[in-house]
Amino acid sequence: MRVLLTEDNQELARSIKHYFKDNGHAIDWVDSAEKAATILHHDDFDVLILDVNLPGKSGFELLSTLRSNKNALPVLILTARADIDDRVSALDLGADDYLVKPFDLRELAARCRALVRRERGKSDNEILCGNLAFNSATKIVKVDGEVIDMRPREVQMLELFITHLDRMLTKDDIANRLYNFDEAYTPNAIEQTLTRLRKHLQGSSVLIKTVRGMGYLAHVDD
Amino acid sequence: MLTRTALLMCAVLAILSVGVWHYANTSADYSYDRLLSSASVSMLDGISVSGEQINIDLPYSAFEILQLAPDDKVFYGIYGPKGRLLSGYNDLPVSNDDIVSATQQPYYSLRHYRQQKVRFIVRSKRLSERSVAGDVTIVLGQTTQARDSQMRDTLYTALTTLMAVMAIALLVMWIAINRALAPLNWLSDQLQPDSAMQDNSLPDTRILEVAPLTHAINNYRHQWLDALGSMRDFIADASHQIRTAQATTKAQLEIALSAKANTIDKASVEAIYQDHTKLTRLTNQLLAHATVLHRGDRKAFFAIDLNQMLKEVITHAVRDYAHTDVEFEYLGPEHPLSMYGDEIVLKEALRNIIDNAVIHGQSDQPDHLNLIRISIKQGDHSYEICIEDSGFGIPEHARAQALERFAKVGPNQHGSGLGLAIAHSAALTHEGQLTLGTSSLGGLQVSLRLPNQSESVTHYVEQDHV
Repeated sequence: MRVLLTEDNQELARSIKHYFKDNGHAIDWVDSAEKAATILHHDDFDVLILDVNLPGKSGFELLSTLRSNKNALPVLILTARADIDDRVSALDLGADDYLVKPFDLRELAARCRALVRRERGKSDNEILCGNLAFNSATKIVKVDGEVIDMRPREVQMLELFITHLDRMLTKDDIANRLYNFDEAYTPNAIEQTLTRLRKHLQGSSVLIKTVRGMGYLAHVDD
Repeated sequence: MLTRTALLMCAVLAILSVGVWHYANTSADYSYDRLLSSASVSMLDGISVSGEQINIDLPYSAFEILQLAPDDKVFYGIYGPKGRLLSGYNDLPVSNDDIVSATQQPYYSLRHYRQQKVRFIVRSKRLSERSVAGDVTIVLGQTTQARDSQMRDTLYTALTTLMAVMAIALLVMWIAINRALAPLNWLSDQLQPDSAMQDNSLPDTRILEVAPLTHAINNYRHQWLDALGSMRDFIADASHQIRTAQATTKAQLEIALSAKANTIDKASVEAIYQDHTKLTRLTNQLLAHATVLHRGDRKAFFAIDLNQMLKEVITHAVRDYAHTDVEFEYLGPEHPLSMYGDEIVLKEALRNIIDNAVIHGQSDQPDHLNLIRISIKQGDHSYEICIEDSGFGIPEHARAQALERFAKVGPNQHGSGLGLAIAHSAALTHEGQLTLGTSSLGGLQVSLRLPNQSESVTHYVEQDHV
């Protein structure tokens, strides 16, 4: 993935750059919103990591300019203020995610990957979740390059989960997507499908957690 | 206050002066017009017809009457039928219209005549002799010195009285204001020598009206001092905790740098990283606690759906702990549970209790199910949120201590000691209660009871928006 980092703190920027390069990602760094705007004008990136407090124009200003120009580039906001108002305004302005400083570099990379995954899922057929690859056109699931043989219902369920990562899905949500009006189903059937899916996913980066009383949540642990 | 009242009184005096001037003018005119009227009647009485002649015999009494204004000059003119001047001045400023209008009743007017102000009366008498028939009109004028003098006398007397009344009113008001404000002066004398930081109460006062005020000031001062005290304690505790953690990290870094080998041992870096992570968590927790305390003072409460809020907090926790073996369970209703509260504070509190449950919910038992159960029950006037874990729990005697800042109880000493303190502060902010108990899962049960303050605190929100 190709990342543009906008951060005015040199030491932090250098560490982030180093970490992303070590993990095989292309990363460019600028220290102001103005420079970021110029680069974004003629270059394509997969994700923008944007600090809020920048000299000159703030990160929020750059973000709102991008969104008013209909630029859908995924943006992850970095903020030092844990106050929820800051997070809310970031999301309201069109940020896709936020991280509060100090953060783990591992967490930052994972969040960026999740954003890129979400964006690519909309356009590409191939969705990558850690070591699991899913092709939404051919419905082929691979873990570490090995094809996993699954029943159609399990594939449907997996597709539903990996297009709704980190979101809670109730049993009704799942049933509505997996079964049509003519098909009778029981809550047990969903649980059985889920148990089989979990078995297939053992060893993969995709985890499906059950929360009794709420539903199910899939998360990529990469 | 007195200045403003004085200004107001001056304005009233100005308005009243206009009224008094008008009154003085009218009364002077009324008095001297009577003289003119009587004199003109007497003069008309002296007009008679003899043969075909009109005889004018001006009576002495008419001039006697006019003599009552001794310094004034008198002008007159007598006109026969058809407006012919019979006697007197021929240049009086009287028109034919004035003469015509006087046939019904006497006509008064103020004119300038021979560089003087002159008050005229025009009065007619009908002659109906066979030889002479028609109206005889007398125009009688008198300068206005006497009436002006009377007008001035009346005006000055009335104004002097008015000013005296106003001055007395101001004096009475000044005395009353001073007497009314005397308790406040006493209060400011009591407050002035004190520093705001001193823990002194104001002395009891015998003035009944001021007693509630001194009580309120004392109360406010104590609240303020309490808040100041807790802030001082907080800063002292925070400084100690942060500096200790920083000293540890710094010492580890110094040891690693002073090692003779050129390469740094990865285990040392790992230890430094772990300690730094703890320091980060500690700083975040301290800032979160400061936020909760600060927002608690503001009491910015809005309508929230507790059910929805709990689901959001749990979803985030499930995502963050997805890589661990912790399982979550939520026992809540399907319908919304609304209350007035501070969502940021409550979310911070719940997240801290859940984090606490994750850290302390581990057990060394084989096949141990690491379950965290979150439930909410609705009472008559309150909600009770319970977060239970299956860890070791906290012994009963240590539970009160566990709610204090930086208190670490139980076998796991890795936490910051702030999680439950934050939740406790959040409960107090909402006039609720945080209690610790034993869970049916075997571990700790943290119960957060929140009164449903839907109506009692609405005014806080309004105040905040103002």
